[in-house]
Amino acid sequence: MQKLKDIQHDFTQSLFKTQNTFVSHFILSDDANERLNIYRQTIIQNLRQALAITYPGVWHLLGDECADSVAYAFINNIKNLPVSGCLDDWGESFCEFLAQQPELKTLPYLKAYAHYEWLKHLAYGQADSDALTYDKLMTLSENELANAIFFFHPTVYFMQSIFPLDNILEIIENPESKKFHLTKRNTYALIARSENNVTTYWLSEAYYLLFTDLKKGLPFGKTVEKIEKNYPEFNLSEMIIFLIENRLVSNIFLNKSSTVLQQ
Amino acid sequence: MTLNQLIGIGLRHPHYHEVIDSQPDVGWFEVHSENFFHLGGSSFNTLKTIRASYPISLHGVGLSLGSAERPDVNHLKKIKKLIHEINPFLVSEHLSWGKINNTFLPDLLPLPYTQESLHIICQHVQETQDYLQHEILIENPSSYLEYQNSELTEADFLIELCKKSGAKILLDINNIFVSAHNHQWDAKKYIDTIPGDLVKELHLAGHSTKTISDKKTLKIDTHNNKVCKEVWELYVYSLARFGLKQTLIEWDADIPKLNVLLEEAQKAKIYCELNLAQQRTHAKA
Repeated sequence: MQKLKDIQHDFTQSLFKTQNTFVSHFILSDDANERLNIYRQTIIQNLRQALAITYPGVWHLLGDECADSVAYAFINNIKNLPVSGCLDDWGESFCEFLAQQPELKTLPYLKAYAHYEWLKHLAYGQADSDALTYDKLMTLSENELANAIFFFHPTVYFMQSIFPLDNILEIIENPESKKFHLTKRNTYALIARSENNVTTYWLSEAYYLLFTDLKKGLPFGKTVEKIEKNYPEFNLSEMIIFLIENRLVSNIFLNKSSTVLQQ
Repeated sequence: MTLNQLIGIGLRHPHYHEVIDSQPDVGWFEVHSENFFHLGGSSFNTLKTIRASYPISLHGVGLSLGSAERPDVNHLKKIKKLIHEINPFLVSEHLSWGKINNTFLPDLLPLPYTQESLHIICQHVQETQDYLQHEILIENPSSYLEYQNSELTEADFLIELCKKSGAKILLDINNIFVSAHNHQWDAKKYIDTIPGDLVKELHLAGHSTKTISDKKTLKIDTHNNKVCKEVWELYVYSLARFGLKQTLIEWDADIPKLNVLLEEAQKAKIYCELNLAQQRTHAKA
């Protein structure tokens, strides 16, 4: 008698191969393919739906028929299937898959936009966390602040693109908005979930470089010094107000004393 | 326990706000555990708000207890954290598999009902209960195919599993009806086989019908319809056999207005009332 592991392996292969090697294991073999096909279709539709939920803008840009077709091609390769029973964790490699499709080469920004949607998906699904307040920040001495390491809120993600993601988003959200000629332009995004909604902040280059250095764990003082040197218009107070008021920092690690400010 | 407390409905995204605003007269809600694994954001906070007013049952679809491989520890950790946050009154999973060789197939795939499968899934259920420190209920699936090498009926397999592992049964009446049609089983015989003390929850749902070959049809567990007449009859039959049990109205696709689910819940409540009245009549006689 065939072992359970072998049966499950054969079953999985049968779902993804046109040549069905598994039929002999069915009792009702006269219509085994039709019966297996019900499972195949349910799996495909569940996966397609998961991608469509994660990438609504991609579906909008391509149209349902084209997006479904690309999704089916993605799902059809067993290497692209989920590895865990939580579908929210699945689908990141769809961005790269889009970029590899010859028929989508006319949409060079698609991979970048898909990646932006993936980060929004991640931000939406992160656990809640408290945010750092002005009161807590004010307890730091100047020296402590200079050596402090910032911990961004767990829902905060950064992205840089050579495409105008802000314009593309505007067209998706407001199809009646003014048409524009797509040209390459750097955009810098900070994506975060505040309360229950995911928000995108379109950043200046200075903010983007500063925040991504802070996220790498570089001390606040040195990071700010570097930005002030390269971007004379940079305003430190405005930047701190931006971080605190939008609840983007959850904690600060005080480098020298090895203590965490917020408990 | 009142009859109202017995009947629950599946909590789905389109109804979140209406449930919070209207506080419908229903005993409890059931959610898919995997939809709340991240313990944050809008959906999770909504669930916590609803939990403050209603008992919640966590119903898993992704643990793959019937896989030849051991349950995914990360998945178990997430369920345990969710249990800690929500404090559910029931935790359930399925008599099925979906994961093998690091590939997860999002469906409830059928098991061969062999002694080997029984031994493996029994270990997995025990391991899960030990890890979660919580009793779990195992639901009979809808199935569209059977294996040549099965040695037990599905009902006997489920009973053996629960007796050996200490788990309880979530008996899905619609799934019995669907599988009975698809495999020419006797649905009432299936219900007669199940010991009442193992059953802790009943599921009711709608299904659809697909023609697969000349005059041959399969019932598909689509959860996109009202409960059909035949399934209500089996529900009445089950109540007569098991007594009153926690009952859930499930609806997962083409989700209608909340009112429609509440009407279905009301219908289940009426059948429970009739069952109770019959019990009293028998007691007097």
